[in-house]
Amino acid sequence: MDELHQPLLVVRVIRTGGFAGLRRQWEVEATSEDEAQAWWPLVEACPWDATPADNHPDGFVYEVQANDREATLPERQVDGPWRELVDAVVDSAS
Amino acid sequence: METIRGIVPPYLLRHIAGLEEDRFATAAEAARRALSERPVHGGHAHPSVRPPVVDAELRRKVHDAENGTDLPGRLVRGEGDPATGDVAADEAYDGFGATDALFRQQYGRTSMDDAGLTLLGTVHYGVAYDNAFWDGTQMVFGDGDGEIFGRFTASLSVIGHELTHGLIEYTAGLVYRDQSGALNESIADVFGALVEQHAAGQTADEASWLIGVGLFTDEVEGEALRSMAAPGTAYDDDVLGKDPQPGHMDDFVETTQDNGGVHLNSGIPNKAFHLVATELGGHAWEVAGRIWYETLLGDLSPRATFEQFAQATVAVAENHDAADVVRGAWQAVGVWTNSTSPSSSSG
Repeated sequence: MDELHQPLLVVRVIRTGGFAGLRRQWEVEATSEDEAQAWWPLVEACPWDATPADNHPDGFVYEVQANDREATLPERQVDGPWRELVDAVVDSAS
Repeated sequence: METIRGIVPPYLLRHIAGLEEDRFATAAEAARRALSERPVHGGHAHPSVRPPVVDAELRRKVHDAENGTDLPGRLVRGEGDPATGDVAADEAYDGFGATDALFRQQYGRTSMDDAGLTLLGTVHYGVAYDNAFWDGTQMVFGDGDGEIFGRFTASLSVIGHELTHGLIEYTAGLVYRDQSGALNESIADVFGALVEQHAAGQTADEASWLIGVGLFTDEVEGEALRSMAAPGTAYDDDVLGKDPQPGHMDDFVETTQDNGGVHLNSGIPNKAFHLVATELGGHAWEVAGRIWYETLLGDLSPRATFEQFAQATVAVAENHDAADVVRGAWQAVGVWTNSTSPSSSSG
């Protein structure tokens, strides 16, 4: 791949669990500075180091990755900035 | 019979024992027995603290989240209320009734906590929400996205599954991760299937052993979400891929996703239950279901492994002349080899 087109930021959401136990994955790539600038505030707003809570039976499990950051969250914790980021990735990728 | 414990006040036992209605037959019979066996200085109470029973009758409350995520939402149907005309709300109400009927009539249990807890549910949760879950207090059902999934109340096995998560929380408390989590999932499937079979009056041979029939839209190549009879065969679709459930320990999935693959590895104990039920024949809830139910009420570790659970079921099965069948089923799915299987005298 041409180096100029290497993505500056990749945000990936992997959803597992739920009653059906199906795995779904959504991903966005920011290839320009402008795009990356638009995504970074959403990424930075999330508490990446927070301790994950316990899940409830059949709740979804979200694995969120943004370049080298990674967090695994039960559905009940995907709230506030996490919800904004996850919804933005799912909406952009769908 | 496992039912009314010593903590139930005598006046209530007398009340239950006097019930004539058919649907209370099992509870009434158990109450009569408990009264006759009741020691002078009170009974043998369950070690866990239980609230006193104040009302043993079925009570349901179905709410509507109106596509929001605030729980429980607006109450749309309470116990005895007429049908709402909303399919999801009425399916949830009827499904709670069918689930309660299995546990009450066959095992003498009064609600999930065995103390008459009101069954709470919410339908129309979120927008195009592809899931149903138990949140520790109540059941929650989404409408589905309309492309892959329709509404989650469409399958009685799903409603029975979610209520069983509540039952497990009040009994064995299996931790929702790794093998104990897969057992939690499997037991929810077992009783979800039994609720459906009980409502339809099916024998083990007549039953489909499918979980979630009718949840997928017509667009999906698949009849259900899981198959207890043949794990890994419920669907095979261009978009969703193939049902990934294993039915044998050789194919046990090691993963950190899905709380350690709880919805995948549950296929193994699911298959073991199916083998027990079909080997014994007849109505699966009568002996196979009772063994699993009594195992849940026993002193199972919250972190039980497949093998520990299997041992506990064999021990219970000794009392039901079914230990050999249960032992054979766990061997068939590879939880034990011939050489590691507990002998018949160990139960």
